Amino acid sequence: MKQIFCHIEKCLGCKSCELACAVEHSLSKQLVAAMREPVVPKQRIRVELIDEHGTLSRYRTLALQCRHCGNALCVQACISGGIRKDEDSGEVRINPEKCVGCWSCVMVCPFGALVRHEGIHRAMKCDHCPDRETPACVDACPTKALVYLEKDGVRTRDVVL
Amino acid sequence: MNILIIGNSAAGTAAVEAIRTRDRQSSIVQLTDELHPLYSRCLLSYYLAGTISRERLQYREMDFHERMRVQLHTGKRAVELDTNRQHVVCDDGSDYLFDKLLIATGSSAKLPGNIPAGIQGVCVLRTLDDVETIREHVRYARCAVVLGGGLIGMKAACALRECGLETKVVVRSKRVLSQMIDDGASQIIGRRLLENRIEVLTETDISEIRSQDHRLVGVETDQGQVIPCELLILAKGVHPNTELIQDTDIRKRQGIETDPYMQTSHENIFAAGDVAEAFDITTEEHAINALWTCAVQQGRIAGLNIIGEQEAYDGAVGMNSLDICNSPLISYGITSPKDGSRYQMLVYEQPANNVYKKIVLKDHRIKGIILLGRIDNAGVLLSLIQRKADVSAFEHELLDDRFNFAKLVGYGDASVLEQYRQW
Amino acid sequence: MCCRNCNMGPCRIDPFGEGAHTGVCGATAEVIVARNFGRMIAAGAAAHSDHGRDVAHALLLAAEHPESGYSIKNVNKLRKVARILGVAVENRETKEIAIDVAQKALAVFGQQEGEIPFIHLAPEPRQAIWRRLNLVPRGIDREIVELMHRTTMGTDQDHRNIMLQGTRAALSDGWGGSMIATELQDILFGTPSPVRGQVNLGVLSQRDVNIVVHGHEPVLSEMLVLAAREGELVNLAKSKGAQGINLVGICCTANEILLRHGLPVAGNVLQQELAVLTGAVEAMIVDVQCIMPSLPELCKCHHTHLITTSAKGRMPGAIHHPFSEENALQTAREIVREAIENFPNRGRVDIPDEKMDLIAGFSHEAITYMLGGRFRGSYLPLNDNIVNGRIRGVAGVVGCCNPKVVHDQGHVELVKELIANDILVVQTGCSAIACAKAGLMIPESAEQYAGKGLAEVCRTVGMPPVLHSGSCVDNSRILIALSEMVKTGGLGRDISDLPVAGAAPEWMSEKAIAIGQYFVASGVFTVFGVGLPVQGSEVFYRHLSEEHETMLGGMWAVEPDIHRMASLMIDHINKKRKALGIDKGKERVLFDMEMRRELAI
Repeated sequence: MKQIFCHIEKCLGCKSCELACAVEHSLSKQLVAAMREPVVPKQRIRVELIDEHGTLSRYRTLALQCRHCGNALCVQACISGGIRKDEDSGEVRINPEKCVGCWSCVMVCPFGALVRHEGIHRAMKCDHCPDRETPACVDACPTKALVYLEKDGVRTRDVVL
Repeated sequence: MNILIIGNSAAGTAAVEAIRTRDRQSSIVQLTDELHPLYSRCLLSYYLAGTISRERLQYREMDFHERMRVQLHTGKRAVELDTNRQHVVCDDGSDYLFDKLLIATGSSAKLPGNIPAGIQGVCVLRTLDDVETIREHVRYARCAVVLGGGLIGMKAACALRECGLETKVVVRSKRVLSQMIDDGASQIIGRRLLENRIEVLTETDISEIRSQDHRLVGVETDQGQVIPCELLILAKGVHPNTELIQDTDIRKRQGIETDPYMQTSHENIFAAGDVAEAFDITTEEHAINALWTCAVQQGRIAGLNIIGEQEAYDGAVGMNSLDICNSPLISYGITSPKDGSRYQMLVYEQPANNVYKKIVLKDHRIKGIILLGRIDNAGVLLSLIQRKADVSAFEHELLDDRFNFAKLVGYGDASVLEQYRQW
Repeated sequence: MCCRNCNMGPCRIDPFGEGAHTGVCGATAEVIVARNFGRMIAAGAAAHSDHGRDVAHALLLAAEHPESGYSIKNVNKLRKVARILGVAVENRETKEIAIDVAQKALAVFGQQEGEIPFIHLAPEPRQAIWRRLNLVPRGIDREIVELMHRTTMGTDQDHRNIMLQGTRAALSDGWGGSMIATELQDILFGTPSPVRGQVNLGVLSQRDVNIVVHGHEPVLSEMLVLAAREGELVNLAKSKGAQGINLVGICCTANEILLRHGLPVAGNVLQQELAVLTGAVEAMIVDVQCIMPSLPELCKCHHTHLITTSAKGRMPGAIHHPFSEENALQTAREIVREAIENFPNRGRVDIPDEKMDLIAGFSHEAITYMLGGRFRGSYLPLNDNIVNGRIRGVAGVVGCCNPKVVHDQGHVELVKELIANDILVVQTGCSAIACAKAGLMIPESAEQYAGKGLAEVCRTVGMPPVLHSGSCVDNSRILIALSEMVKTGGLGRDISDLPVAGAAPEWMSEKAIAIGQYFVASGVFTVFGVGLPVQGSEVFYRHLSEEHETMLGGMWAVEPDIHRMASLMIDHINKKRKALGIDKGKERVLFDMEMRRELAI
């Protein structure tokens, strides 16, 4: 399974990934139209501030999204069985029709990768953009800080905290 | 190897899935005393409220057991266990031999002693059948009373309010959710309930049930108040279903005792879920944590160890997520320590915005958290509890809404980044 | 919704409402968008106006130093413009009048108070609206400077107020800088009248020295026209094996020399690189605006000399021949010579066989005479045919080309749909070149594409249904034409009453924004394609559309879909027709004296 990784030393914190993610997960997939959709498109990647010791820009930032954990805690926590690990790809997927917005997944995710859409009361997360060859955030990143690759074929099975 | 699993809920299902990721050969027989397809107990209050349909209660696909090559036997209650012969007998006489047994029988609703049986309208909220019974009563009931201010009680009250019933909650302690949160958060919750016209009667108990022709017509409290009502939900907690082992020498205190591999005192018998006691990371004691996520985690560990994977359970953390009248609430561990002197507490509150955040620390380790109104990144804080991490370097930032995984990277421990890369 | 105006930023407002709602300083989306939009107007207005300034200099030169090569071709227009500027004409030498006109024109740029003179050409009710809203430009440079000032960090932070200044600056372009450019260019080089020409890359010649002039200012291209005709240089060309000198144009400067001399147009803005790729261009000579900085690298792949001429427009890798109006003709000769010397260096030549005829040259004067006749030029026949419905209305389709959409398709499809609905289309700039390439500017196209009514008028007059009025500064011609239509009567009292609409389907340059704003401010419904960088703020967009309509009678719209754009324009024109009461036939009423007295004209 390919994963999205962020090279912190290249991340500018420009948030192009956030915009691209939201647009990709809208109905129209166009920025201007997406802004007007009745259900506000929700970005599933977040640029988070690490500290102020950056060299490229003053801050070090990390564009963070779901890690599709080998032993995903969200799968364990989901009370409706809506979050499952896909047997073939290894990706952790949310079935939106099963989600009741209990936020149990938010309660357990060690990365804070689950995003709450308060408008429609559902949890969402990075899905590796199933309609695209490369995830939208990776394509949008102006410095190629975000990359999409196999981590040596490693599919670590268990959470090591 | 013949594996027998008693229980078809969170722990039992997790064990099945864990076993089948590594072992597709061993036979698995699963017993459940319910007749319904595998459903999520936690979704029952949503079903009662009318938020979801009955079909959405299903926890796994209809062909789950077939795909997992599990023989599921429904409507069978295991009543006898012979630990020497490794043999279980059910109430209908059928019997099963096993090489390895997982007891995942869960728990049942506690019935207060002073409530007479057989009154229509007096219900518990534990199984799908229970909910269908309640739904029948909802159709004609005008007022509902919920006895108990815990998680189930709150969810029941909100669901019944959603159904349009006048709803009151009778609570013995000073506040609702007394096991889960502290006074500060409870006050805000109480206000939210009131704003949604759910009346809470604290420091009150029900002394008498009033009925007519075996139908509930009202309750009387120990404060002398008489509340006419047609529906009473008993939500005074659960007790573990340990009847199966009562004639055996399997060690139990409240629940079945287990070691870090979810093994009981018998080497081929495991326990997981509401019926089992396990190490609690926050209290540092062994106890039952009757919570869905804990049951899943324990079931998985039990399953792995049943097939010899030797995976240890780090321990449970009591954790709850609840959405009360659109105020999201998450809590972990010890939130209201009895002996406050041994703990440090950090609190941030904005009652006007229904926001309350609290961290309970002991020796710079997080032992409990309350997050009301601001729950994003809660799991990051949970990871600090589970790791028993020393948080002194960033204690002052824990309550900040912006505290997140990246902050840990900043303060890190290269190991945190490694985990990110290793995933 | 990004703001880069100060170093506390750059700031971006999250369009999905999660992140920042304001800039660091507190600027909201409408403030940021209004400032950005205002600066686009300022930039566009500056470009056009600076062009006008150069023309005024050229006029002064023509009067004082005819040996420079500049001369006064249209004395009648000189006198007309003189009257508008308040310069005495009776019993005065042309030279004297010209000097005064040039100096008065230059003064408009530096004017600090009062009103710029050309706005008095607008209908009185339109002027009244501007005066009431304090929108009359006080001076060209002043309005642009103030707009830049207001949009700096921490100054004007009310989006409506910013746009008031934006409107003033735009008007100082349309009725100021651009109009000065157009009118004075007519004086210097002649007022266009219908002329035949050819358009598209096929006009490049296998056998001649090809010189492409690209950019905007005829003060350069007109000199090249003169130089390229000189016998000595033509002979030089022949001596190098060419049959002659083929001077063609790209972009607005092409339109200028097309309209006045019938010279061929090689293409519009997106074809500038393609011209070089033919391998047939000995020299591409550029001045200012819309010139791609990719050209020097591209020219290195061929023998083409890229020659910059303006101190304002340099590019590394280009050969610079500084061009000043004083040594204009001399420099032009040197450039032509250099091009001829380059002819033997031609390598492989691949000229596409694409060429189309067109008729161009529809200045507002030309339209007057074309419609009204040689002796009594008038817009009456136009107005009459609008009233009787043969012509539904008039549309201005102008502007640039943009590689975000299929090249030229927007212009051509829009114009085809408009003329099919009996709407007479007037064009300028790259848009005009696009439709010319598609064959819409020959009179025969009326039979093929126009609705019955429009076709009938075109047949009668002998004109195409799509009228090429010139370059982008020549959009000022359209302003005057609209004013004339109002003055002629029968179609309301102000430009905003006319059944007209404007569109820029494939715009790209900031100049287009300035043009759009001055048309809107003059009362015209204007719709832009591709997108507008204001869509991040609902509030601001509503201001440009609904609130502008209430305030100014003209408004903006954005519509990327060309057919919906056509519908918007047609619906608008129909709406205006209905308001005028000309959407249906009227009973002919015989007026008696009483009724005549009651008429309030």
